[in-house]
Parts: sequence; structure tokens; C-alpha cells
Amino acid sequence: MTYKSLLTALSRIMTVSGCEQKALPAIQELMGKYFDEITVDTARNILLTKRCGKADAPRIMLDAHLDEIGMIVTDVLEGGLLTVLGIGGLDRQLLPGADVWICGRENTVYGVVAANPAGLLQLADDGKAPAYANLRIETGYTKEELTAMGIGVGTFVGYNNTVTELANRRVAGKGFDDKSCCAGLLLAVCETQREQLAGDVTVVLSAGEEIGRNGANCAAYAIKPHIAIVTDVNFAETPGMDGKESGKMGNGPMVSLSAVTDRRLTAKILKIAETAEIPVSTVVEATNTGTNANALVFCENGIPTAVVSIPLANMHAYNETLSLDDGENFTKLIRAIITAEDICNAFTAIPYERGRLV
Amino acid sequence: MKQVRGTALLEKLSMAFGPSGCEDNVMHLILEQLQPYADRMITDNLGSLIAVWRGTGEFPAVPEGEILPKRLLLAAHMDEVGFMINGIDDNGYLSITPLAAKDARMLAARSVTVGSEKGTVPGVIGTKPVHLSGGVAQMDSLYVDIGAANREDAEKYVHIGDFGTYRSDFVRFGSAPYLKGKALDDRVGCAILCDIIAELAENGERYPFDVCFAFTCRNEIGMNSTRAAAYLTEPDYAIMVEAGAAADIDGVPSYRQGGKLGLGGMITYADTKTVYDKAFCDHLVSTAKMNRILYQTVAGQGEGTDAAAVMRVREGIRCAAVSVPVRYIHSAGAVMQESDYDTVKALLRAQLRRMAN
Repeated sequence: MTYKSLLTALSRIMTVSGCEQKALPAIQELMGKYFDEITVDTARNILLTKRCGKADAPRIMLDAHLDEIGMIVTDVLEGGLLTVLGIGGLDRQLLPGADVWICGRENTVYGVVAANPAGLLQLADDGKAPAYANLRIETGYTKEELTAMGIGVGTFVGYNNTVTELANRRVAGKGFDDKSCCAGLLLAVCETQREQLAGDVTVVLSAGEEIGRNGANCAAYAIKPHIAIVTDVNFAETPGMDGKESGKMGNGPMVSLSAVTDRRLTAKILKIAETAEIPVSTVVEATNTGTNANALVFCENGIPTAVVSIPLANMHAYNETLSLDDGENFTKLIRAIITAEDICNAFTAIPYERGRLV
Repeated sequence: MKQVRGTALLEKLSMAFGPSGCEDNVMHLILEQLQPYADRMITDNLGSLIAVWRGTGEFPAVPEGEILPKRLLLAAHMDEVGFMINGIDDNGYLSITPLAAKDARMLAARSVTVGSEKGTVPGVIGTKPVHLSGGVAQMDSLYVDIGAANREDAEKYVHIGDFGTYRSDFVRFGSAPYLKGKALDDRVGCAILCDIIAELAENGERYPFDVCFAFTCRNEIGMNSTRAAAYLTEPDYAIMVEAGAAADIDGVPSYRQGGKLGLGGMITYADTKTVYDKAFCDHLVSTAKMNRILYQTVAGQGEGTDAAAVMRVREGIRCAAVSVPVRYIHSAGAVMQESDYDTVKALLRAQLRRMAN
């Protein structure tokens, strides 16, 4: 199992926000032999735990969201065309002509988003991004056939794209937000012997991040972690982007410097990276990390949290692009973090006794 | 190399790289397909390929109301919409200028192929994340990411003046079934013409007149290069076999829908560029009726074909156009109905037979 093969396998699974739990069988098959326990909770998070084998060990939560942006069917028209609304932040101008999967009761069905034919501009083309009211998904089936396949109002629709390798180990595909981090976390834990772990590690493949970060916090109450590392994608520097809000692809994972996250835990992670000679860059996200960390830090009596990210170009498009080098260095960094002996004591709040006033 | 037919051939042609001005790959595919069948194959000076199916030269008397050409030209264009690389920046990103792919929204975030007939590499057109986006994509802010580390690295793969187009799988889907792919405009015409030559050769069907099959280039940029092929072959009748815009989905007023999927070839009386030979069009319609072949007539819509230029070649050429209806025609996800492929081919075969008798 390589970073690329795991990323490709995860990218293939359709996990539009709202149907993440459907990934459970695939995750169990990929990861079953590496973890002690794999469960799904009521918030649709998938939790994978690997214990270090010591009694009263501290608990480490590693979070990456499994859900991806997509669409949901609002109506089935005569002629088998579907109308949809977006789930998560879609860029509607990219939809016409895009390949999609429509998640039927038993099978997924291919579809393509209707685009304006040249010379016969219609659907109120005003040069803007098309409104959802004007978008259609072409299925090639009749309304009756679709109904028989369980496709109707409420059916989930996801992007359909394969992973392409570009030059210099850059790859493009769909759902890399945030499956690139899911792959890194899972791989890092798989590759680590339980005796080396600094505590009991739970990887949370969290749900609902794209629709309001409403999964990870539920998992935190179940795990009660001593520390949490939230991992997500961040903006890669591309033409027209400000270098201050983005990282260069290929320069390693990014560590967030923020008022939201725990400063000592963050400093510790940077130190670990330096010692292990793993390239990292830092990014300032003053009051908003744009990740599950915003929700996690306020769980229980507060969870010391740090944010590590992978630079990603074309975020929320169906050709999100990243460097495999960054993904592999991200994996190395996570591995170094979860094997660092004193990592669970590296947070700011002192003294710390869980669940009680001091 | 094995000759393939029908939609298997269409798939092969659809996947081939051939934006306007870079049609060699497509031409070689067609050359290989036609090698065993055509009497002769020639190219004109612009890069079009012409396959000749010789006639007997014995012309019978023509009954009233019938048409007997001295030589017939059937033309389909090989090129597809795309773009050209017009710059490489210090970080290895490529800037682009359209070759008929005019809508920046159709290009943003797409999987693309860039290069030339010498070789191609995959790339992705970048798009600003929607979180930070300032609105609709503009052509001059689009760039291609091929993974290059910097300008020097990029130049190992591509050069200014190289070409690019969509990368899009050919998919057969639904119960209709529909076919989805890039460049159906006009590889579908190319595939139909290839099939017809193969069928004529296998049946040993000879007509009094020569039939010239032209696979032409640079149509999408409006160069109308079919006129060079028409000058070279000197036909008196010509049929453009094209992909025609279909917008037969809800929300579009019926008078603007153009072609409709599944209803057969579109016989065009007029488009935005020209008016076709009425008698020839009527003749095609009556052929369809006589043979109970599905057809549809359109007038005044669509971007036009090379006929506008071909009809003015030499002493003038009588032109008609038969188009396969295609939805979302210039996008990466063009859609047609498989049955229309056979219907259009059947109409052309019936027309050839009728003119020969």
C-alpha cells in the first residue's frame, strides 16, 4: 500500500456529505487488519482505533473529513433529466459538462451535467455561473426506469473522475479535499507498530465537514482525546493567489499558526518536523482555520488542537491537484507526531486533570 | 492494425487528439482504417485527407426529378474545439488562447491534454477555489498545470504554439443508449464516412460517379478548409456530414431546440452562414421518406458548416448537410444517441443508391 494507491482507492468511494457511512464496507476492507476497532457513529463518522497496549494510555484523536462536496436530486423530469441542489461549496460554473455518479438504491448510474450547446445558447445563459434552477443532469434513462432504480428526490450525486498523474509526481482527481489527509492519517497509523504509539490513537474520518463541520465534534465527545490533530487541505499557491494565504505545492505539509489552535502543541509539531528533517511550511490563519479545529477546540472542557494541512490546487473542483511528495511527507509527519513520547503533554493548559475543577 | 466499425470506431476517433490545426493524429487513424478499402487516398495542401471511391463512368439517362452527380463529395471535419499554448510562466504554468473553445466556463477545472502530433501530456486547467473566487472564469486568467516545476521543466513537455483540448472518456450510458465524449463534432461524421467506404468496398458497390470522401481540417476556427478539398476533387454535388447542435431539453423554447436526439439526421435548409440547395435538400428528404428512415429538418439554426464556402468553389457546387444531433456540442461532455449514428449512415447509403439508379 502506497500513499498514491490509498488516495486513489479513497477517491473512488463516493462520500458526498450525508451518505458518508456508505464508505464503511470499503474502509473495513482496506483497513480491517490494521486497526483494533472500526465503528460508525450516529453522526456518520467512521472511527478507527489502534491501541498502544499500555494501561491508562492518553488518547490521541487524528481527524480528517471523509465527506466531499456533491449534489442532491430535487426532481426527476420527463425524459429522465434530474434537477439538483449543491451540497457544500460548489462552483456552479464548473458543472456544465461534468461527469457525475448518481447513487441509486443498489447501483450507481453515470450522468453528465447538461451544458449550453454552442450556437444555441439557452437556459438563460447570461455569462454567469448557471443557477441550480437551470442545471440538468442527463441520465439516458426514462423517468420510470430511474424510479425503478431508486433514483428520485433526495438521491445523492457526486463527481465522477479518475486520478491522473501529471509530471513531477503531481496528481489530479476528485475528493482530495479531504481524502488526501484521510489517506495520510490511515497510512501513518497502519505503518506504526502499536508499541511505538504515544497513546491510543483514533483516526476519525469525520462526516459533514462540508456542510458546517458537524461531525468531528460528536466524535470528540465519544473519544475524549487528550490532544487532537485536525488535518485538512489548504490552498496551494497558483497563479492569481496571494502567497500569504497559500502554500507552495511540493514544499511539504503546512502547519497552521492561529489563535484557535494550541500554541505549544503547534510548536512541538514544528520541532518534531525539524528533528525528523521533514519539510514543512507554516501558514497564518489568525482567527479561523477553516477546518474542524474551529469546532473541536470547544468540545468537552476544551481540546488542545493543532492543524496540519496539505496544499491543494483547484479546491472543490473535480480536478483537485496536489503533490504526492507533500502527501508522503504529511504521512511521515503524522507518524513522527504519534510516536513522539511526550506529545500528549505538549499542550498549553496547566495543570490538567480531566473532567474536574482544579 | 485492425479495422473497427461503428461506435467502436467513433470511440477511437473521439479519444484521438486533434484540435484545429493539429489533426495529423486523427488523419493517421483514418488512413489506417481506410487503407484496405479506398481506391486512392490523397491529401490537399491544407492537411485534409481525401479517399476516392471510383465510379464506372457509365452515366445512364436521368429520370425526371432525379439527381445524378458527375462526382459527389462527402465531407466531415477531423478537428475539434480546443486551445493553443501562448505562454509559459516562471512556475511552469501554461497560459492559453482559444481555438474555438470560447467559453471559459467550459474550460475551467477541466482535464485536458496538451502537446502536438509529436506527443502529448495530461494537464488540468486551474481554477481559483470557490472559497476565494471573484466570479466567473475569464479566458485570460485560465492556465494549464502539467505538474512542471518551472519554465525550463515545462519546456521539456510543451512549447508555445502547441495545442490542447479536453480529456474526456467515451461513455455509453442509459437505456437509450446515449454516447458521451469529446469531439463528437465531427468525429461522428468521420466515423460514418469510414463505415460507408468500408461497406461500399465489401459489397463491391460501384456507381456511375466517383464518390470522394473528404476528412477536412480546421473547421472549428472558421477556415472552411473543405473548399480546398472541393477545388481539388471538382464535384458538382456535396454533402457535409456534420454534428448538429441539439438543445431538446426542458426550458428551451421548441423553436430554439435545433435537433432532437433519436429522431435521425438533421437535414439543414439554412444555417447562420448560408442557405443550402433547396432541391438537393428536398431530394434527401424524399429519399428518407421512400426508405422509411428517420430524419428531421432544421432551418436557420446552428453555427453552420463548410458548405457556405464549398458552394462557391469553381463554377459552384450544390450543397446539402446531414447532421447527427449532439447535445452540449462544444463541451467535454457532448452527448448523442447511438441510434442516430445508424440512421444517418442509412440515409446517406440510401441517397447514394438512389442517385446511382
